[in-house]
Amino acid sequence: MSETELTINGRSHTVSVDPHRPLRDVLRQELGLTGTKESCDSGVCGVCTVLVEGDATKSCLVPVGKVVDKELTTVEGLGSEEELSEVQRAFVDCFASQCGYCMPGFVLAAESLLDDNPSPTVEEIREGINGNICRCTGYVKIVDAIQEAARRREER
Amino acid sequence: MSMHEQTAESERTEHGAEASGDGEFRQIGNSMPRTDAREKLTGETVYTMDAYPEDVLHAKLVTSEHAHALLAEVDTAGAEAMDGVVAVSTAADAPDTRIGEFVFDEPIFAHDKVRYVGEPIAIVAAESERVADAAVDMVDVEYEPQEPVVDLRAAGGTDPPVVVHENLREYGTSEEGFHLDDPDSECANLLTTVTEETGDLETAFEDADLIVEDEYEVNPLQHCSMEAHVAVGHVDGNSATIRTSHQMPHVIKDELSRLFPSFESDDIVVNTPYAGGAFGGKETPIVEPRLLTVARRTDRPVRLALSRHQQYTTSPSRPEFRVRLKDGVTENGDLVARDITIDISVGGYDVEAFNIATALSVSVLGSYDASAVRRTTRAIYTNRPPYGAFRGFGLAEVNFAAERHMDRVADALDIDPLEYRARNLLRAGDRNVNGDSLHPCQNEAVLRVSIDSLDDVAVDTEYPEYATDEWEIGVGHAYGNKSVPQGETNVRIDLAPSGELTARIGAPDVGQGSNTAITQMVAEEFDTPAERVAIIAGDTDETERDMQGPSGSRFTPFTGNALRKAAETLRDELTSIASTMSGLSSDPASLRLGHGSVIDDESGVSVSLQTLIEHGKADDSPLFDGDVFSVVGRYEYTDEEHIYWVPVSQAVLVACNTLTGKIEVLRVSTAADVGTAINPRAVEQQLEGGAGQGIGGAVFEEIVYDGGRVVNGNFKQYRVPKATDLPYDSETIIFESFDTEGPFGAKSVGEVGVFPTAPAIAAAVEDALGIEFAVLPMTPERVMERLTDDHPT
Repeated sequence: MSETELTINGRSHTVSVDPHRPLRDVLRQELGLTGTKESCDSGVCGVCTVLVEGDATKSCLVPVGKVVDKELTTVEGLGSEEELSEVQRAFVDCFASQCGYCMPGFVLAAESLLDDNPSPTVEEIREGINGNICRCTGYVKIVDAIQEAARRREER
Repeated sequence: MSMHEQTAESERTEHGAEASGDGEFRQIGNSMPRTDAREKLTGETVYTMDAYPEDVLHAKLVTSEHAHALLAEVDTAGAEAMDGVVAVSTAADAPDTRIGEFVFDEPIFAHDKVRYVGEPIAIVAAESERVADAAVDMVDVEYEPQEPVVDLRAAGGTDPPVVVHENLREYGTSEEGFHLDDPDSECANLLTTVTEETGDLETAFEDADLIVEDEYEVNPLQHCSMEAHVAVGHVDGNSATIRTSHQMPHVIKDELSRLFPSFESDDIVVNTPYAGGAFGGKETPIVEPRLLTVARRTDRPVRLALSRHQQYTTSPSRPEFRVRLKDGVTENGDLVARDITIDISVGGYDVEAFNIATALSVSVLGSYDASAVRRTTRAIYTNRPPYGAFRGFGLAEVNFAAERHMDRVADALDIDPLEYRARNLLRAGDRNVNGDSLHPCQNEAVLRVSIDSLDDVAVDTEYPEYATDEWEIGVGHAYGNKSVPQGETNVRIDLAPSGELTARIGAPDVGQGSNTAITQMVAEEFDTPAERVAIIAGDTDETERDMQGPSGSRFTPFTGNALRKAAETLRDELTSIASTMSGLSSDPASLRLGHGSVIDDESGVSVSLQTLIEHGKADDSPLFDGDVFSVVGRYEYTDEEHIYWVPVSQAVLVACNTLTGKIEVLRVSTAADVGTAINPRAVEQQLEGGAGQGIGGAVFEEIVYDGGRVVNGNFKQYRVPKATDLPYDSETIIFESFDTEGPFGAKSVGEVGVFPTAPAIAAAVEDALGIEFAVLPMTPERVMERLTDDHPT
């Protein structure tokens, strides 16, 4: 156990944890940030995706001790109290969400994708979300939503 | 680009619900955004997996390492002595009752014997997950391994090498008088045989000009709900509260009451506000009885989540199916006789196989007309993890065999397979072998339009990357049909003084959008904005009894119709109260609800719901309960005839790699007649998602076993489709023939999207490569094997 300082969604948090513990478990169990989900436990499904310095990262694979001096963003840090981010709004409007369990991970993957490539092609979007699994949708409307979000971001 | 939006719109105009029955709808038919979307996108939705109550203990299961073994000893002393371990439970702690959907065959924790790898033997509850994991390793289980039986044919033979349940006929069953299979049965591992025969089969085969026989095989796969099975339970004195990721909270409550006789039924509360996917995999008790056993040992809340690997071993998967089909046809293509035999693997215990076998026997031939049909379904115990329903309750798997066989027969007759299907298709008003009458619907248009829609695809220009020698392109097509049988459901509606309406429904929204559909139905019934409607779902303490759940395509007819009955009673009471008030007509029938009021259109006078509620309270209205009007609606359907049939077809364009055996689905077109589409975009969601799961199961998803052991029980080795595995070019064509029994003319759409996918892909692979496929999945290895077999170099 050691005192660990984390910067999450622009705020500083101090937790007393084993530095080898996965970031995902610290977020969920110590900080109550359960928008970050757990599912496959092996870095495949992406429901635990967070942004580390803006890059989509699977938090089940990252020991919390490795991210002490990094800027972390979870789904709770997107948009504002009143307003969703363009990506979140596009996912709602395009019917991209069904059971919704994978959605926070997809939204963060999409934010990161669009930060790197503001107007991706369909192929680039499909490749870009291959680190995330959705069992419900068949991905058609998720790809639609990311295209729509790219358009809305351009109009910002 | 994706064409689904535009297509759905144009088809709606052409075949719209408005024209066909109930007048114009205000809320039904609108693609309003899903009511749960916003909170799911922000991460605010708290799934059961996210529930960590204060002071929670973490539980883990000790499970069998052998497919078949005697249990010599279970020693928990080492685990109990560990720091941080609060309780360890085994069979010694559990009531002497057995789990089972039909046959009560599975102990809560194994004693004497284990029958599959993954069978729960003990549970530990500890201060942290890490301690719980370590304690699991400290439970010492001594096995005396026995030979397992895992092969379906061997297990189901007359002289099986192993008898899975020696005392099968001594177990209790959920339906008294409904005995297990004939005790003189030649097969000791037979859970049940269901045989139904219609017409004179022998004569029909004699009269046939051609008889075609073949066998088909569908291998097991996993639901892979993103939220695993998880429950959080708390025992407080004589009462227990369990939150669980499940489809059927009311069923779980009943089952826990039966399994734990020390609790009064009303002292158990089960709650599922949402589930992170289910697909039929969360219909039976899995984690709940194990959790409750250890939760009785502590006054703290306890959380039990299955690991991803345990999803493959300890929670149910889709069974192995072997289907034998024999069809008799006339030379001009009339199907006159069908003999179908289906064997399914139960696994070690009857999680759902008995009910699947029963359901299959009545609904296996809903699409086509054949005068003589025999259906035999056998459910056979093996030493594999128990199997259960997966999106279609077995029908999707059997549809693979049945639709492939339609192609086989058409080929033998040298008739176009589409025309062969069309010729034998049941028409509106026809009765199928069950005696079910097909309600008016556009099933022939459904059959044809999906394949027609691929006519204009220019493969060379639209998919140039596949225009090399390595790839062969093929087109395939198949049909399907889902029916909905008997049942009953109750729904409560509350009207608050504020005018807000709350629908209390027993079935949780597991992802299919049921809460949104119900919101639209309530808004329609009371002509009120959807924002004025709240839903409480899946809490046994807050909702009426519901044994249907979102299961077997039953939500829409059962919950929808029960809700309509409650709404009717409530509207009648409101107009009746209004008719006693000055300025309004004294005839309630001339009054209507609208805009939060009861309105008299003739006089132009209206009275607000708030005022009516005050009057109702003062006049002692029988519907008044506390501060609200509260009404229960009940819908019961008891006819032998099924409620309705939902026709569906799919056409696919595939590319097959002749060097690697890889199959890529480039385009899928799905058509279905869903009755009134309550929310057309949500209908598309279901059909697109069904096709996606269908593609995975057709081309690569398969649980691989070594004997009784799952060897690929994780997402690294068991491939769940990713975005690049599924086509973005996806078209959904919705037909809306108003159904006479469905609420607002609507039918169910949750399951059918997966029905034709695998046979359509198999037909496309045959078109591309000239190889016949009778086995699922069509993995690259199997494709290469077939290519080498059929075209030896």
